Amino acid sequence: MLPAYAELHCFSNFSFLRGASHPAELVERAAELGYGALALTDQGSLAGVVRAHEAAKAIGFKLLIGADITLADGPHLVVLAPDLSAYGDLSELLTLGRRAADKGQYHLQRADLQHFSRHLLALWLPERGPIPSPATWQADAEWLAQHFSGRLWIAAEQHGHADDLEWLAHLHQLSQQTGLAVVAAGGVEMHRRSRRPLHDTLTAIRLGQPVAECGYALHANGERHLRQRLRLAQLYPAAWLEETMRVAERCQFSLDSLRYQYPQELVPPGLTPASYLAREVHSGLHGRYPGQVPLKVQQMVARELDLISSLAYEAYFLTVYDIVSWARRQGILCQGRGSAANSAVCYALGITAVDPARTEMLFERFLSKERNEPPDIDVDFEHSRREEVIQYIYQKYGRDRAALTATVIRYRPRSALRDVGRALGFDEEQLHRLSSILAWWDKRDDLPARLADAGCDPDSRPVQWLLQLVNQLIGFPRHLSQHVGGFVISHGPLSRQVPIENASMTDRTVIQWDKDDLDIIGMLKIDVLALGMLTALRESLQLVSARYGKPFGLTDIPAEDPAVYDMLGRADSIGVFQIESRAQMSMLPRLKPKHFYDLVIEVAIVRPGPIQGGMVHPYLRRRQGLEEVDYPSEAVKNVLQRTLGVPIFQEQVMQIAIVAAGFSGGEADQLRRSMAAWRRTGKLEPFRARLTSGMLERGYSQDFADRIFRQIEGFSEYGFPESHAASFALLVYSSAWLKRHEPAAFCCALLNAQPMGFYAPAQLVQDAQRHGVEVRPIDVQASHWQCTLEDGTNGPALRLGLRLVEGLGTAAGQRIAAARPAGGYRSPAQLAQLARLDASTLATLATLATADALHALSGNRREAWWDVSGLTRHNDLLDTAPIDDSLALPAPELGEAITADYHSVGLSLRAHPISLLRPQLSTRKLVTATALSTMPNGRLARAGGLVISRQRPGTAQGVVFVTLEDETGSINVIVWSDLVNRQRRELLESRLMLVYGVVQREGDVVHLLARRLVDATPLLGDLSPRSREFH
Amino acid sequence: MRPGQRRSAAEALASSLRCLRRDTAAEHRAHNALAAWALQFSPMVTLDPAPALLLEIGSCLAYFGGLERLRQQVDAGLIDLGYTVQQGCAPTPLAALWLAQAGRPEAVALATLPETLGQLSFTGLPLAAEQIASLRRLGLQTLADVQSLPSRGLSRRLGLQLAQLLDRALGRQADPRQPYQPPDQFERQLDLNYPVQASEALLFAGRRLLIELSGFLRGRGLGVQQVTLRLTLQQRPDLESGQSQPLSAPHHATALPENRSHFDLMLAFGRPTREVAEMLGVLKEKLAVNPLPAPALGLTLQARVLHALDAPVSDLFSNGQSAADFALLAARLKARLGDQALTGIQPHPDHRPERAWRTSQQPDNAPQLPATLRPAWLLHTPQPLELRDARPWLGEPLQCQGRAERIESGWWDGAPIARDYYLACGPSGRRYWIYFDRKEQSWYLHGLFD
Repeated sequence: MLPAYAELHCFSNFSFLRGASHPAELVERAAELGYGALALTDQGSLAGVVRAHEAAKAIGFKLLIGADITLADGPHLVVLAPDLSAYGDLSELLTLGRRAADKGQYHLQRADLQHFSRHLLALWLPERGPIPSPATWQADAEWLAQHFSGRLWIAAEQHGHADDLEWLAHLHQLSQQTGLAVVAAGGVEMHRRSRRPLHDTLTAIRLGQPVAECGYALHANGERHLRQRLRLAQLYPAAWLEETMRVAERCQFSLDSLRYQYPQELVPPGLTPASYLAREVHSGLHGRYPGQVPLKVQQMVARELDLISSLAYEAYFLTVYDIVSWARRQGILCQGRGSAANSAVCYALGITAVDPARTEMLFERFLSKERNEPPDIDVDFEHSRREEVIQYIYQKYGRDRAALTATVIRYRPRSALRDVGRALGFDEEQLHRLSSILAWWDKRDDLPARLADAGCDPDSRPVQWLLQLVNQLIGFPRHLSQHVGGFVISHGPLSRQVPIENASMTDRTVIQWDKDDLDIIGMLKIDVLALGMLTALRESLQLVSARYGKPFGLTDIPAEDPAVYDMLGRADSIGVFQIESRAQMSMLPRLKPKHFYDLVIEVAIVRPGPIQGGMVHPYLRRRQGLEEVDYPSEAVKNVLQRTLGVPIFQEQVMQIAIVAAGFSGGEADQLRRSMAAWRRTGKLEPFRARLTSGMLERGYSQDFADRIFRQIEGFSEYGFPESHAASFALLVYSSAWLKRHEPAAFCCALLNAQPMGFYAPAQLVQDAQRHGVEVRPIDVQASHWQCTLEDGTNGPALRLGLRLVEGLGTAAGQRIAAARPAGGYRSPAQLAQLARLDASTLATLATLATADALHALSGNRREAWWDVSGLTRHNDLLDTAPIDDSLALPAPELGEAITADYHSVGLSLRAHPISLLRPQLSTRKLVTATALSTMPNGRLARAGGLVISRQRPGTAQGVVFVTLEDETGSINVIVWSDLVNRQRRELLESRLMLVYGVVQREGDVVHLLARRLVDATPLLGDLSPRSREFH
Repeated sequence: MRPGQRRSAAEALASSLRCLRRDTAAEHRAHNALAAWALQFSPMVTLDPAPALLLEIGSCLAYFGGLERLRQQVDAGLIDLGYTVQQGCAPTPLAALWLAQAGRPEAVALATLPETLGQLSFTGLPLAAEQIASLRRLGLQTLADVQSLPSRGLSRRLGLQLAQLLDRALGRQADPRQPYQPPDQFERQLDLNYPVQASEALLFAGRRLLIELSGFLRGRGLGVQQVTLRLTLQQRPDLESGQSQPLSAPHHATALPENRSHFDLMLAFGRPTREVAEMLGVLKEKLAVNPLPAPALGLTLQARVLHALDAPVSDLFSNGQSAADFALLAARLKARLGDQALTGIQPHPDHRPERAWRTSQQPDNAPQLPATLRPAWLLHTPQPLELRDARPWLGEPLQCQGRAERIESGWWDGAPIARDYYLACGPSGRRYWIYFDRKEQSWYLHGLFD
C-alpha cells in the first residue's frame, strides 16, 4: 500500500537557473505519481504559479501556492497560502522583499515576515550544517512558534546523503524538544531524475563556470525530483508522510478565487459605472456625429454596452477613457490600435479613431462572452511624451495599484547555445562558429552536416550533450523584464494580487506575471505604447497652425483629397507612415489607392501573412480587372466583397468560419488565436476538420475549404486585423496629406522626431528638396536645437537644427539657441561665453566647427577650427580675451566638404556625392536613377549609388533587396540568392555599389535585376554615409 | 578585412576565418629579445615604442666596414630571424624613425634633412590622436604644411610638443635616449687546466662557481630557483644535451672547435635560494645520476632568471623540519628520481569518489571533502563482488550498514556513475566500502576502512 503524499516544497524553472522543470511538467508528473497535491514554492516568487494553476486545473489536480523564503537574519522557510487572506499577505510580503532589493533579488527580514504572518502556514527548514546548533534552533523555534502558532511544521528532506539517518534523528529530537510536528518534503527542483544533467548545467550557468569545475556546488545525485511514493516510503517515517496530507488539507486557496477589480473611483458620485459609461459614450457619439448618429452605430453601441455590462468591464473602459482624456488635455496625440478599433464604444470615447459608420466591424474580435478573456486595449501615444502618460498613471493610482506587466525573457536557441556551450567548456571560438548554424537548429536531418561544417564532430560526446541540453533549455524562463507598455491597474492594492518588483529602469515597477498569466487570471491590462509618427504629426500640425495663424488639427485635414492619392500612386511616399518601405513602395503603383479603404488594404496586404497565403496577386489581378471576382455564396460575398473575394484581414477569416462553416463568434476567435500560434504549437489540425466538414455541410466545395485553410495557415502570426489596419490607415492618410501639402513642415517634424521610420535624415531632406522645399544649413546664427521653419522666398524654408550635429549635447545645443543675441554672435569666443560653454565644452565648439555650423562667424571649416582651437583654457573657463590671430586657409574641396558634412551631420546640402563622381560613372556607361526609371522592360542597364539599405525578408527565399541612392533618386536592386552567395563581399561591404543588370518593369514599378555587383567604395575616398540595414 | 571591422562582418566575408587574440606580452618579449640581439651591432640600442629599434651606428661604421655593409648585415640578420624590416637612416634618432615608418630607406644627411622630412606626413608622429586630427582639420598633410603655419599660433593650439619634436628631429635640440639594458643575469666561466671526469673534482670546481653566484646574488638581494651548469667536453659526445635554444633568444655560446662539445646540467632547487650548500647538494645528486660522456675542459654557470628573496635564508634553524627543508628534500628526491617520480596528493571537488582526489606538483587549497565517512584507501579499480544468498560476498558475507549514500554524477566527461554506497561489515569485523551500481545492477568493492 503506497502512502498518500503531497509535495510541499518544489521549485520550478521560475526559480531562475535553479529549477530544471516547467511548472506544468511538475504538476503533471505529480498527478501521474498519484500525489495528493503539489505546492509550487519558488524562491521569493509567484511568477510561475499561474502556469501551474492552468495545468492543474486542466487535469483536476490540487495545487498549493507558496514560496521558499530565506530571511536575511534566518531562518529558511517555506510559506504556504491556505486561504485568500494568506495569499494576499504572501503577495504583499514578496512585494516588500522585491521592492527592497535590486532587480531579480529579494531582501526580507524577520520583522517583515512577522508583519504578514497571521494567516500563512510555515514549514521550517533548519540549516543542515556540519554541526547542528541546538541553541540557534531553539531560538528560531521560539520565534517561529510565536508568529505561526498552530501553523508551523519542521520540514524534513532526505536526499540520499551519507548522513541522512543522523539528520533524521536530529529532527526527531528537535520535534520532541519543540513539540512541533515533522512533515516530509522533497526540496524538488526537477520533475524527473533525467533532468539532472540540465540541472547541473543550470548550476554551472548560475556560477558562470564549466560544469566540470563546479565540484560540490552540484548536487551529489538526482534525488531532488518528484520521487515514486515507494521510494518516499523507504526514506521517511510514515507519520511524516501522512502529515503532508494534513498540511495540504488546510490549504483551500485557488487562484480562481482572486477577485480582481478595476478602479472604481472614476465614477462620479450618484452614478454607477454602467450609467456613467453610457452617459460618456452618448455624449461622445454626439461629438463624433454632430447631426444624427447613424442607426447602425446606435445599434452597435447598444449591443456593446450590453455585453460590457454583463461582463462588468465598465470600469476598465472608464480607466482607459480617463488616461486618453488626460493625454488629450495635455495636448499629447494618441490613438487606439489593434482590436479595440472594432468597438464603437471605444470610438465614442475617443480611444480609437476608426469610424464604425464607415467600416465593417467585428466586435467579437475585441470582446466575446464565450472567450471569457478580458479585452486588450492598446493605445499609441507620441513617443517623446509617453513617459508623461506613464508617470500620470503611477501618480494617479500609486505604485501599489498600478504596475507594468512582466515579459518573461526565455532562452532562445542562440542564448541557450551560448550558455550551455560555456557550461560544457566549449571555447568562445567554437561557440561563435556553432551559433552561425543556428538557422538549421530545427532541421534535425541537416544538423549533423552543419555541425561538421562548423568544425564540430556531431557524434562526439560534448556535441551530443550540447544538442540535448540546448533543446531542453530553449523556452526556459531566464528572467523577468518589463512589457513594452502593458499596465495593470486595480481598485484595491495590486500587490495583494500579485507581487510587484523593481524593473531595471528606475522608476518602473513590474508585476511577476506576464500577459498570458493575466489572461488566465482575468486581469485587464492597457497597453500604453509609443509611436514616433504621432510625435511627428503633432509637430507638423503645430507648424502648420503657426503658419496659418489658427489652430489646425488632425480633424481639419480634408478627407479623400485626390492630390494625396495621386502622390501615393506614384510611390512618392518617403516619410509617410507605414507605407514608406520599399515593399510598400513597389505595391503602391500597382494598387493605385483612390479611397481611404484602399489605404486600409495597402497597410494590410504588404505583410508576411497575405504574401505567404498567396493573397496578393489574386487581389491585384482582380483589382485591375484581369480576373473575375466570384463568390461561392451570398453569405461569403458579404464577407469578402470589400476585398474582391480575397481574404486579407483576420476578421474576414473569422467571419468565413462563422458564415460558411458554422463557427460561433467565440470559436472563430479561438481559431484566430490558434492561427497566431500554430507554428509553435501545430494545433491547427482540429480546426481543419471542423472547418472542412462545416463547409461541406453548407454546400461549399472541398476546393474552397482547402483554399481557405491554406490561407489561414499562411496568416500565421502575421495577419493584420482590419480594425488595426484601419487605425493605421488614418495615420497614413494624415501623414500623406501633410507631405503633399505641407512638405516643409512635415519634413521638419520628421527630422525632429528621429530616430523613427525607414529613412535617415539625408533621405528625408533630399526628398523634401525634390519637392521644392528650400533647406538651409545648420548655422549657430540661425539654427535652434530642433529643425525649424523660416520664411523663404517660396513658402517656408526648412532650417536644419543643431540636433543633427553628431556629438552635440542637448543642453549645450539649447543654450546656444537661447543665448543668441538679436544680431547674432560676434565670434566663437562670444558664443562660448554667452552660451556658457565651460572648458569641458571646448569640445562643443570643436563639434560645431566640424559640423560647419560656425561658417557665418569664422569662414570655412579649417578657419573655424583654427579659431576654435585657439581659444585657450584658463581657470576652467575659456579665456575669451580676444587674441585675433585669424588666418585665411584654403577652403576644402567640394568632395572633402561633402565627406565632412556626412561625417558630422549625416547629410550634405552642397551636392550629392554621386554627382561628383558622375563623369567617372558615365564613362563606365552607368545611368542615373531617373534615366533608369524610363527604360523598357528587359533592357540591359548599369546604375550605381550609395547603399541606403539591404533587406532580406524571410518571405523571399534568400533574395536580398538593395536600395541605392544617386543624385536623382533611388534605385531598387534585386539580388537573387545565387548572386548573393557568389558576391557576398560586394553585397555586404559596398558603400558605393555599381550594379550591372536587367531592367524589370511592371507598370510604373522598376527594379534593376542584378547580374553583377561592383564594389566602388574606393571612389568615395573616406565618405561614409551610414547605411541602415534591416534584417 | 580591415581594422575595426566587426567580427561577424569579417566572417560573413570569409567563413573559414580563424581569429586569434593579440599577445602583447609575446610582442614585448620579442621586442626585447631583438634589442638584445642588436647589441652586436652597436652598444647604444634604444627601445622605441614597439615595433621600432634605434641603433646608434656612427661610432661603429668602421668596424663593420662601412654604412652599407652594416645595414645589409642588420637587414639580413632580422630577415633570418623571420621579421620584415623597414629601415631609416638619419643623423637624428627621430628623423631615422620617421623615415623608417614612412618607408624611406635612403640615408639622409643633416643638410637635406629639413627638406626630406617636410615631405613626410605627420600622421606617424608620436602625437595624441586629437592633435593629429587637429592638423588634419586645418587641411594640412605634410610636415612642410605644418611648418608653413605661424609657429606661435600653432603651439598655442597644439602645445609645444609638436615644435619640440620637429626641433629634435632636425637636430636643433638634443634628444637623449635611455639605452637598452640587458636584464641582470649571471654567467661565469671557469677553464680547467686539464680534462676532468671525476665527480669530486668537478664538484670542487662547481663549488667555486656556486660561491661566486651566491656572492653575486647576495649583493643584489636575489636568489635562483634554477641554474644551468655547462660543461665543455673534450670530444663531441654521442649524447645530445637535450637543451634547445629558442630562435629569438640571443646566443651566447661561441662556436666550439671541432673536437669540443658541451653538456648541460640543469640544477633545480625547489624554491629560490642562494645557499651554496643547498645548491651543491643538488649538483651532487645530478652528477651522480648523469655521468659525463667525456672529460670536461671547462665549466660555465648560467643563471638566467633571478628571484627576489623576501627574507634572508636563516641558518639558525637548519636542523628543524621547516617547510623549506621539505621543499629541499623534494627537490633532491626529484633530482635523483626524476621529475615525474614525485607528486603530491590533494582533495579535488568531485562527487565521484575516485575523482575526489588528484595528484599535483604544487599543492593548493582545494575545497574540503563533504563531511562523509569514506575510507582513506580506495581500490584502483572497483572489484566486482559475487552474490551468495542474494548478498554480496568477499570471502565472507557482507552486511550493509545504515542507509545508502547515493552518488550520481559525471555525465559530462564520459565517466558517469550512478551508485548506492554502503558501509558493509563481515563476520570478521572488517569494514568495507561497497556499492551497488544502479545501471549494471551489480555490487562492487571500492575501498577498505582501517
